[in-house]
Amino acid sequence: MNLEGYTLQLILREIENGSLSPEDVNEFYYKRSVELNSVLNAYITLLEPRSRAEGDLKGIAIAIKDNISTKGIRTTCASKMLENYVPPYDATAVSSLKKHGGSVLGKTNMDEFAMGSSGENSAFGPTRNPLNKEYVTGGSSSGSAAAVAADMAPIALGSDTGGSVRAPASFTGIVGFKPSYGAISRYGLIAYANSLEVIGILGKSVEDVKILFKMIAGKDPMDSTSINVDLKEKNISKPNILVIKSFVELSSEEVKKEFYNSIGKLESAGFGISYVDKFSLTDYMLSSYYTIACAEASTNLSRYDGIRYGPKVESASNWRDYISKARSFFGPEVKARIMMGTFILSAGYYETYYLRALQLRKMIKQEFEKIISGYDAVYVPTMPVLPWKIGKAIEDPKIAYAADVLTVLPNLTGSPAISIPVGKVREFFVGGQFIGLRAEDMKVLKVAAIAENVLQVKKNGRN
Amino acid sequence: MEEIKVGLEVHVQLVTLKTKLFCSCSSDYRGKPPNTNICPVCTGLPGSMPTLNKKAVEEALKVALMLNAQPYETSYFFRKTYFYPDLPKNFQITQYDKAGGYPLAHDGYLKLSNGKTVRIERIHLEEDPGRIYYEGSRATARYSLIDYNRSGIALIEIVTAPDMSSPEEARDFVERLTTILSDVGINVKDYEGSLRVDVNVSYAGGERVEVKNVTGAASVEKAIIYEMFRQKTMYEKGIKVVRETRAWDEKRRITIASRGKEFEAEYRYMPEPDLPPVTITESLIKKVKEEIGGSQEDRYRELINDGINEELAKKISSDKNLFNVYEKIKFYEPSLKQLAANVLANEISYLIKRYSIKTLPEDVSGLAEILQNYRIIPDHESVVAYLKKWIDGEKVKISFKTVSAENIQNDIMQIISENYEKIRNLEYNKKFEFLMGILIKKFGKENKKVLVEELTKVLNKIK
Amino acid sequence: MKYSINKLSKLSMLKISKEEEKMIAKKVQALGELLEKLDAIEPPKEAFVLAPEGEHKRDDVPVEFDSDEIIKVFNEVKGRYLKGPKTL
Repeated sequence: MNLEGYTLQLILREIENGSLSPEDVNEFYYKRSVELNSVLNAYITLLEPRSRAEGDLKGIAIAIKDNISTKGIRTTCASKMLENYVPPYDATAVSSLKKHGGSVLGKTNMDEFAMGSSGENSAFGPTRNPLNKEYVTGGSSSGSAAAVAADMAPIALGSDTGGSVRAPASFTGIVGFKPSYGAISRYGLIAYANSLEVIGILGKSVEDVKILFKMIAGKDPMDSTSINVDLKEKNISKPNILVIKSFVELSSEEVKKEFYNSIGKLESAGFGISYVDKFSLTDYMLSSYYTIACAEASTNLSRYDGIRYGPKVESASNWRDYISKARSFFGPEVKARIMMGTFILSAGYYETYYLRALQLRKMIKQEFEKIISGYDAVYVPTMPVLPWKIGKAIEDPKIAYAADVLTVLPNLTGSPAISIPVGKVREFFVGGQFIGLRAEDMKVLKVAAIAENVLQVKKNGRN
Repeated sequence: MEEIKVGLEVHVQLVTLKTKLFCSCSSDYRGKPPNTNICPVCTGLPGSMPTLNKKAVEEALKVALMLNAQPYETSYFFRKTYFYPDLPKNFQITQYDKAGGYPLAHDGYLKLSNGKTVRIERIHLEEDPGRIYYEGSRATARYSLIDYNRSGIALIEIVTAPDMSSPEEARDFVERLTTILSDVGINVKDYEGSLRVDVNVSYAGGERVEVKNVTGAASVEKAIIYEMFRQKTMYEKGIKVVRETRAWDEKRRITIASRGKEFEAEYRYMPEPDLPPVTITESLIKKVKEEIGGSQEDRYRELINDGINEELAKKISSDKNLFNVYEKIKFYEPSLKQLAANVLANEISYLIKRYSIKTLPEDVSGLAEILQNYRIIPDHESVVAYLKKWIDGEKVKISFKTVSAENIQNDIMQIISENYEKIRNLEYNKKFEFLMGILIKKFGKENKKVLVEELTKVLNKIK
Repeated sequence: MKYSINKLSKLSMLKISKEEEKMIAKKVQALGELLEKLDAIEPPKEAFVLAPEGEHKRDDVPVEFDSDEIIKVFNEVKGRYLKGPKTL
C-alpha cells in the first residue's frame, strides 16, 4: 500500500468506506518516516503507532512540532536546553486532537525555540528540503513541513510567530495556515513571543487544514488570550482580493513572475483583483516585529536556568555561575535574540525601541484594516525568495531576517493567513498567501480553497 | 536627634482566597509537604500560561477602598525580571506604574492614632515566590532546598509615601492596617508570614536604606530602631550612608547587608502579554462597597446617630460582624436596636471570644426572638445559652406557658392555705423561699419573674 | 548598539564561548540594524501598553494537579524538595 500524495480528507473517506484501515495508515507513515528521517531530519522523536480507531480522526497519528507540549513525550524545542524535558501535561491543542481520536506520530524538528526562518537553527541538525536535500525547508516549523511534503505524516501542527508555518509550507510546496491570534489555544505551546504567535496547521490541501482547524479552534479557559472565531462555512464564489504591490516588489524576479502569473489565472477564473501601490509602513514591519519578538523572548526564556529541569551543572561557584553555565546550552541564534531583547528592555532603551515598536504595531494594524476593507483578502507572495542552500544564511544572518519581510504582517495584526503553492520554479514552488481580518478565518480558508482549485499547481496531490 | 523618614512597602497575602493568583492550586499551602501544592503554571513549566483569579481582584479592591485609594479603570500586569531560584520563571508577574502601566489603585491614605495622615502611593497585585530552605546554616549548606508550594500565592503590595517619622509611627501604621484588613476578613494574624514589610529608612536627609522582609508590626518597629541608630552612628562618625538593601535578621534583631539576591535596579519591566488588562467597572466598585460596608468611622457615626452610647458604639463599630448583626436587627425590628446593641457589646462579644467564633449567622430571626422575649427569660445564664444556640445556627424558639397574674394570685392563695401549718411560724424570707419552691415546681422556672412579683404582692397583702 | 556583547551576556546571564562569540556578534549586529530603523519613528507622546483584548478571569475554585508528575520533571530532589544551587 502506498499513500504518497494522499490528503487527510481522502484517508478519512477511505477509512470510512472500508478501503483503508487506521492501522494501515499509521503503519505506512511510521515506516516511511523511519526510512526517510535519516536523510530529511524531519523528526526529533518518532513514536511507534498504537492507535485506537475512534472519533473523527479514527486514531490517525499526526506530526506535532516539538515546541508543543505532549504529556509523557519529550518536547525539546530543538534545544539542548530541553533535550530531556518530558512535559507532565498536554497542550490544549493536543488534548483537543486526542478528543477527536487523533494521536501523536512524532515530534518534528524546528529552529531552536522557533527562532529562525530556515530550519537550520536546530540543536538536532538542519531539516532538509524534500524537494532538494541541499536546500533549506524554511522555518521554524521545518520538520512539520518536510514531514507533510515527504508523506511522512498526513498533516502536522506547527507554530507561527512571524511566518513559521507559512515559510516552510511555501518552501516545500504545501499548504500552511496561520489562524487568527487566539483562535487556537496557546496553552502548552512553549512561548517564544506570546503576543505574536499562534499554533498553525501544515497540510496537503486547504480542506485538510480546515478539517483540523475546526477540531482545535476555540476559547480555552487556560489561555486568557484565546477567542472563539466563527467556524461557519463562508459562501463566496468570486472572491475580491487586494494585491499590495510594494510587497510583491520586495520579491526576487522568479517569485514575482510566478506570482503575477497566478494573478492572471485567478482573474480569468473570476476573482476580482485590485491593486494598491504601497503599504506605507512596509519598511518598518521587520523592525517592529523583531523588537517585540526579542523583548518577549528574553523574558520567556529567563526560566531556563537548569535548576528545575534542563541541563544540570556539575560544578558552579555560586548560583549565578550555575545559571549562567546552564544557559550556555542555548544555541547562538537564541542567545543573540535573548541578548537583543534584554537590551531593548533595559532602562533607557525601553522608550527608544520597545515603545516605538508598539506604536508602529498599532499603526500597521490601523493601516491594514483600512486597506483591506471591502475585500475578502489581501494576496501577496509568502516568501520573497526561493529556498537557499543550507549554510548560506549562517554566513550572513541578514538573509534569514529579511526573508520574514512578507510574513510578519499577519502576526503584527493578529490576522489569519494561509499560504498555498501558486507557482513552480525548477523543483521548488512559489507560495502565495491570503490574509484576512482577525477572526475571519473561514473567509480566508474559503478564498484559498477556490484559488487552490483554480491554480492546480500540485498535480500529484490526490484529493 | 535628627529626623528620620520612613516609608513602607507592605506585602499582604490575600488569605481569604481559595486559589493562587494565576493558577487553580489551593491557596492553603501552609503545613503541606514540600512541592505538593504545585502545577505547571506556578512552577513555570514551559508552555504554561497564567489566568487571573477573579476574586483576587475583588479582594484587592476591597483593601484599596478601605485605604481610601482610587482604583484605575484599567490596570496591567507586568513582568519584573530577576534571576533567583525561588522564582520559577525568573520573572515575577506584578503591576507597574511606569512604562505605560497602571497599578490597581493609587493615592489613598491611612490615619495614625496620633492623627497624622500617611499617604499611600499605590496598591497592586502580584505573585509570591516559592521558599528556599537549607540543611544546617545557609553559609555552610552545599545546596539549597526549594519548595514551590507558596509560589503564585496572591499578594497585594501597599506602598506608602515616606511620611512616618518614628519607629512607633511605623508600628502604628502596620497595626492600624492589620485592623483594616481584618475588617474585610483578611486576618493576617491567623496566618504566619502573611504580612511582610520592606522598610525604607533615611536618617538626617541621607540616602535611603531598604530593609527587606520584616514580618509583623513589632519587628518593623525594632528594625527601624536598629537602622536609625546604625545610620546615626555612621552620620556622627562622618561616614556616608549608601543607598543599599539590607535584610532583617529576626533572631539577632539586626539588619545585615544583603548578599546573594539580585538587587540590580535593572528589572526590565515589560507588559505581560498573556494577561488581558484588569478592568474595574463602576458596578464592581459598587458591589465591593456593599460587601465591605464602610469604615469603622462610618459605623461608629451611625451608631451614635441611633442614640447608642459611646462605649457600646465603640465596641460594636470595631467589629464588622457585630455591626452587621446590629444593622440587620435594626431593619428587622427598629425598636430592638438599643437592646441589640447591649447584647452585642456584652453577651455576644463574650461568646465570640470564648469560643473563637469567626462569623455570626446571616439569619437574625433567632436573635430577634431572644430579644423580643428578653424580659421573660428568667436569668442571665439562659440568655447566654439561647444566644449560643443562635450563633451555632440552631433554631431558637422561646415558648413559655405564661400565666396571667390573676390566676396565679388564686393559685398562690390556695397553696398558702394548703400549707398554712408549715409556714405560719416561718420568717418572711423562709416563708417566701418555701412557697417559691412549690410555685416553680408547678409553673416552671420560666415564669419565675411573674411568680416573684405576684407572691410578693400576696404576702404583702396577708401580712 | 551601545552595549557590548560582553555586557549583554552578563545582563542576560548567558555564558558565551569564544567559538560562538563571532557568530553571535554578527547576529546581534544584524538585529541591531533593524532596531536603528525605529529612530525614524515619532515616539508616542505617552507610554502605553498593547495588551491583548478581551476580559478573562478565572473563578476562585481549587483544582488539584498531580504534583508527583511535576516532581518527575525536576532535575534532582531531596525528599520532595527540589535541590538547587547554594544561594550565597
